[in-house]
Amino acid sequence: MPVIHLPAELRSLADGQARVELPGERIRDLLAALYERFPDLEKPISNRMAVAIDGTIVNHPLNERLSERSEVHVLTRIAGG
Amino acid sequence: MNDPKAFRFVGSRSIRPDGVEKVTGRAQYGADLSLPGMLTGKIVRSTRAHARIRHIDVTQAMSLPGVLAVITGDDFPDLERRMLPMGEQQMDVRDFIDNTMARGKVLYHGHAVAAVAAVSPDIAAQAAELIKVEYEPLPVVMDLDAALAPQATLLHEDQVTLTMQGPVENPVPTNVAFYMPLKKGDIDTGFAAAEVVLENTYTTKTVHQGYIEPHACVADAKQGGRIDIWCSTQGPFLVRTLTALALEKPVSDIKVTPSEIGGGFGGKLAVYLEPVAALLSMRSGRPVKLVMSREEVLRATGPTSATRTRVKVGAKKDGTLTAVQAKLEFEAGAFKGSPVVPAVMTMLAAYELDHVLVEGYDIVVNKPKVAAYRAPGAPQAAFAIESILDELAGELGIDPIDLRLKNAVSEGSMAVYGPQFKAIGLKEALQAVKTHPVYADPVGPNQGRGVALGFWFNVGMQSSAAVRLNENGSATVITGNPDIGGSRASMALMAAEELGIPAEQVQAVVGNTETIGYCDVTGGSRTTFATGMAVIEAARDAVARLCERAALTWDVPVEQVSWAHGQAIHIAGDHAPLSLDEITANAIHTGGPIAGAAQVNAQDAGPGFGVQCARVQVDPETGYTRVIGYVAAQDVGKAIHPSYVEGQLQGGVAQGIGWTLNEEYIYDADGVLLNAGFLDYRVPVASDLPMIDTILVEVPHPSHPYGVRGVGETPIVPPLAAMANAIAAASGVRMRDLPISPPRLYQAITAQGA
Repeated sequence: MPVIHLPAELRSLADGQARVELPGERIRDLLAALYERFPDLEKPISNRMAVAIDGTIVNHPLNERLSERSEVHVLTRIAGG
Repeated sequence: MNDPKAFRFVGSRSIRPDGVEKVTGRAQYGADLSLPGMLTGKIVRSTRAHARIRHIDVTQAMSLPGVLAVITGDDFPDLERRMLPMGEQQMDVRDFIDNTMARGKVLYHGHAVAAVAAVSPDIAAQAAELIKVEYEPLPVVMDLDAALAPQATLLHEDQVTLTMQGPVENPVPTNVAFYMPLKKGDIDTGFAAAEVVLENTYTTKTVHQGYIEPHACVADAKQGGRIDIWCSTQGPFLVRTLTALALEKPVSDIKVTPSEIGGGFGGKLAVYLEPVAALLSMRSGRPVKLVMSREEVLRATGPTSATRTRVKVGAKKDGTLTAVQAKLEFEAGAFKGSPVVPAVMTMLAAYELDHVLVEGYDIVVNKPKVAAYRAPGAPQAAFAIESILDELAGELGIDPIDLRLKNAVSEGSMAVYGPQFKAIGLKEALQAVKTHPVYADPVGPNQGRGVALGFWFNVGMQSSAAVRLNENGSATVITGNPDIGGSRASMALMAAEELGIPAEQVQAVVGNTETIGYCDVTGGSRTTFATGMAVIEAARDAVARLCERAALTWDVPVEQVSWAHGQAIHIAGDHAPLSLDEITANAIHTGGPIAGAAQVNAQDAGPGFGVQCARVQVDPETGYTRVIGYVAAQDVGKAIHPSYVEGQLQGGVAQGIGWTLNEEYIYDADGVLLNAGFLDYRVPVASDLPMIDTILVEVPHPSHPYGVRGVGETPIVPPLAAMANAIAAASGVRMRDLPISPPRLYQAITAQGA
């Protein structure tokens, strides 16, 4: 089952958990499952965060495919100059 | 295509298409456009750094003959506070309006309070003088200590500290706008495992990007409500969005045409003039030009943050890092939004670490709202960590490059900010510097060398490109990214590579917001990566059309046609190849004009790692530091046009040297900037610098068709610490506060001697 890793600043919205195992064949399914379990995560993740799926950073995740062993990290979206 | 041998044109040093226009002074920059009937705009700026505006009297200015419009902050909409996604940045729309023109309070000296448009510059200046602003002065908050004091004067009475989750518990009004922690492992466990622990504080001052061309624009409000804007910007679509917001118009009513741009470095991602010029044009019915003076640029546009970083490092005696803890305090200027978040995330990205705690604070002060500056936040953070690692190397008696090699990330490492790194060239860059003469050669008396690393994420984001083929077999490539660092040449090379024609036959054009689809800004080191990706896809789209036309000509299925070296090839060999110019010349008989287009939302920009070594000589009798050698190595993925990649490295180093040695905003007690000009705000000039050697390490980025990764920002990350480390080695004095100007260094040397 894919694993989603939460950054320290969001863990209090997920009962203090740093990693959560959830079902999902696509990143949108995984995030939907995450938000169902921890509704308070939806707003900060949607508004300010990107995800890294097995090392590939995706700023606006949608239908990216996941494997049973996928590691998804939530991280802050990056600006630049 | 990642095999370098496979490239025909990419990697060559083609002639810069816009070079002749620029060196002969013919290129049109922001202030160069004039329109019939055009008025001169002038902005009235605050004479106070912090004050309530009691009243603004514009009656005398309005009655002056030749004045056609006067506006104040009350003429802009009172928008609800909300964050507007701007590509990768977020902006509070209310702060944007309040920064464009003050309402209620002025928050820094030079804050715009009113604007006029008149038939001549003299009358505009006279009218500006006639606008009377009555202020109620407030105490000024000019640095971190003043902002954080228990009874500190508040810039924004309704501001509380936010986190990624929302307001902190039991929020109270404060100058601390944002708090972000980054945690990994257990920091106490990490320090318990350390055999050596160092802890120090490092500070940097407010510095400006120092772009040569001041902000400038012309706005022309048409009858019927449409507005044309010409301006110097890194993001014409960003200007369109923000101007539409400020004027409460749909974006479709506004066309923005970017001029040539004389530097930006992030500073021209901010929008100051365009909504003002547009509103003056709407009110006057005439085109309006607004041009900032150098003084206005320094007083009222966004520099980067002054910072204070407390950092504690734990290590084994063999140099293995066991823990790093840091507290980063960044000045945001008058409105929230310093680059402390990327500072927190980049600070330790180059190192394998199990136990980390980095905390960032975004703090408002009575200075101009900071703007992006190349790798925003990363240079200040790197100054702290790369300085203390140099001190650690000295303490442990380990070569500073070996210390970094021991702890550096590589492919498969987990970045402290989250993801796993793919192929990266950090260790290759470290090895390259280790054998370079600037590092390896012996040092003379009063000389020293210093090493530092730099990291920047780089970004992708949205880009559009169009490739249009002309009847003579040449091509026109249109993108929406202003050419700051030679991107026309790079776009031409990438299109040439796909089409199979020389780059000289490809005309690269920067479009306006109506001639090309949406493009995010020229920033984030994204243009060659993301817009280049769009160009490659658009050119491939055009090649697909060319193959279809050849198939039609030969009356064969398109599957039997391939493309190579600028020719359609009949795979079975029954027909002689058709060249691109033969196909385009015959296009009228095969379906008409031929073109390709692409739109991308590029993901997974490859991160950039750089390693630099400075070699300096310090005069102990004056404190003067002369840079006598410098080498910058960087993993650039694939250099599309090596000259411009090298130029990016050299430019970043030059700015970083200035940041280290001389540059700083100097304010008086009332918050008035005392050095608002290039005579007193000293950026490095050519005679201050040695030849900056470059080493392009090419570890192809697997997510780009040519292996490209962003380049432009990483080079400014290492110089602050590389220079400070070199000065420490040369003088025997560790300087932890920038700038290390001659009087400061002399004083430190003298104090140590005493």
